[in-house]
Amino acid sequence: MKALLLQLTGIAGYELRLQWRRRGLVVLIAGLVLMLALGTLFFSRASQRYSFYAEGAPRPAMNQSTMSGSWAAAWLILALFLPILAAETLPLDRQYGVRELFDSLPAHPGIALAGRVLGVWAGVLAGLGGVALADALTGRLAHGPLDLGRYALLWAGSLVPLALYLSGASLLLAAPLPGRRAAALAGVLVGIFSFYGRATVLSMDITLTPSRALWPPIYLDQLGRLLSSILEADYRAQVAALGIQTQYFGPTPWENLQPLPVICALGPLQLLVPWLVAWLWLRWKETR
Amino acid sequence: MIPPWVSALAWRTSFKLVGWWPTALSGLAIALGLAFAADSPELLPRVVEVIVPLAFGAQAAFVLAPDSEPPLELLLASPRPVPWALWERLLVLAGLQGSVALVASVVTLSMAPDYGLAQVIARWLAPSAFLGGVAILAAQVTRQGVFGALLATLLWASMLFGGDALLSRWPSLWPLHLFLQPGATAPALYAANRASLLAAGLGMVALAPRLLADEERALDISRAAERR
Repeated sequence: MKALLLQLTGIAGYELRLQWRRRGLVVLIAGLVLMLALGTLFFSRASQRYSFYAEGAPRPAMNQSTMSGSWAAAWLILALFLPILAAETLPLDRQYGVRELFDSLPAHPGIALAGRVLGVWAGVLAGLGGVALADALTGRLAHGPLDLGRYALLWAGSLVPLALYLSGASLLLAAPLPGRRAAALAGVLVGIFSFYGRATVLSMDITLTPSRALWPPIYLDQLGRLLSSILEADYRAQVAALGIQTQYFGPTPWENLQPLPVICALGPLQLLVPWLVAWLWLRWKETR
Repeated sequence: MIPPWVSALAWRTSFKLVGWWPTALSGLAIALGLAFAADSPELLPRVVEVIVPLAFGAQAAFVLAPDSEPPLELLLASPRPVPWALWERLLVLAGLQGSVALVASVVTLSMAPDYGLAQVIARWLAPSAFLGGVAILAAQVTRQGVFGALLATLLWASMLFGGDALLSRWPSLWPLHLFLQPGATAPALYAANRASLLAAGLGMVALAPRLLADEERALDISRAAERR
């Protein structure tokens, strides 16, 4: 067990260092920090909530990112950037000529694959942690005190699962592809599939039918809606306590959403499919 | 009689390296898009306009990205200048995606005869040139095709979903809107928008081979020396 764990952490550490050296994570972090900071400082002025605050009313303890609309920009960057970045992880081994080296390691191919996914996830989580801190600091300076509990909940429940899902699914689906170009194009497709689904089709209907549950973006959509609804309910309660009328109508009330356990189970289940594809491919390659 | 410079071109190899399947994929996506939009004439010209620029941009990033080209050192040592290879592959890519887009434009016109051919072509040609230019230049600057593809995809999505909002807030940014609609603005402004995108795209495409021609840069020798 200890040897297994050592193999897993060793491979994950190698992948994390590789991701960092390829500069992709740095660009992702810089892009997110810039987009969230710009959203906080400039775009929030266009928000209905911002004009409500500008009338001189006391500001409820509300997360600045939700009201500024910069969350959508972060979603855009993550959905389109991360799948392309993660997709080339395994095909890159063939270009660098280290595929055979990996195959000759004493670690089982399944462990090696899990280690690579964990390495990418560790890099993504570390990057997002830095972005969250920078965003919280900008929000604190621009809009005053934040409700840090709600803020952490928003990250943990929306952008973090999105990032983990997209990077994992993209890496695993691109595993059998022959080169970087094919992998990057597959990443583009995964990104557009997720982003377009979230941006258009799912916005019209939130009913979770069995056939729609198979569609990966629905998990992310449901989770995002659940969290924003909790925040919205919180916001409405605070506004009501202040006795102020507001014209802003937020997301769907959380009572209309699907049960939380179903939502939470869907994401990992949907990630199992690409994992199975990649694992079967590795097995097939091993027996050739 | 074939001129000697024609025989020096490596079209067959370029075609092999560019590959046919991404073009087939974009053709399939356009066919599906046109089938879904058949009942909405206002959506028909948008199908080619949306799919072709993304397909061209994402593919252009990888035509000759230094980091994704293992035999680059060999290419640099050969008597044929490396930028030739870049131009050849780019022209093959433009020919493939352009053919699909042209056929799709004619099909679009047969389904919705109210639009002119020039307008349907202008819809996809200008953003394709711009995104292709951005992708290929970013790939040469960073030496990695993946960054070119990332930038092109990000620009494509942000302009598709936020281009109109951008213009409503900052109207002076009209030359940057990739998906400006002909009916949404004055004809002269629309023509200027298409011309500016085309010029910027071609300018970036022209700049990329110059970066590639710098051998030390292409092989990352100066950075490697700095690291030592």
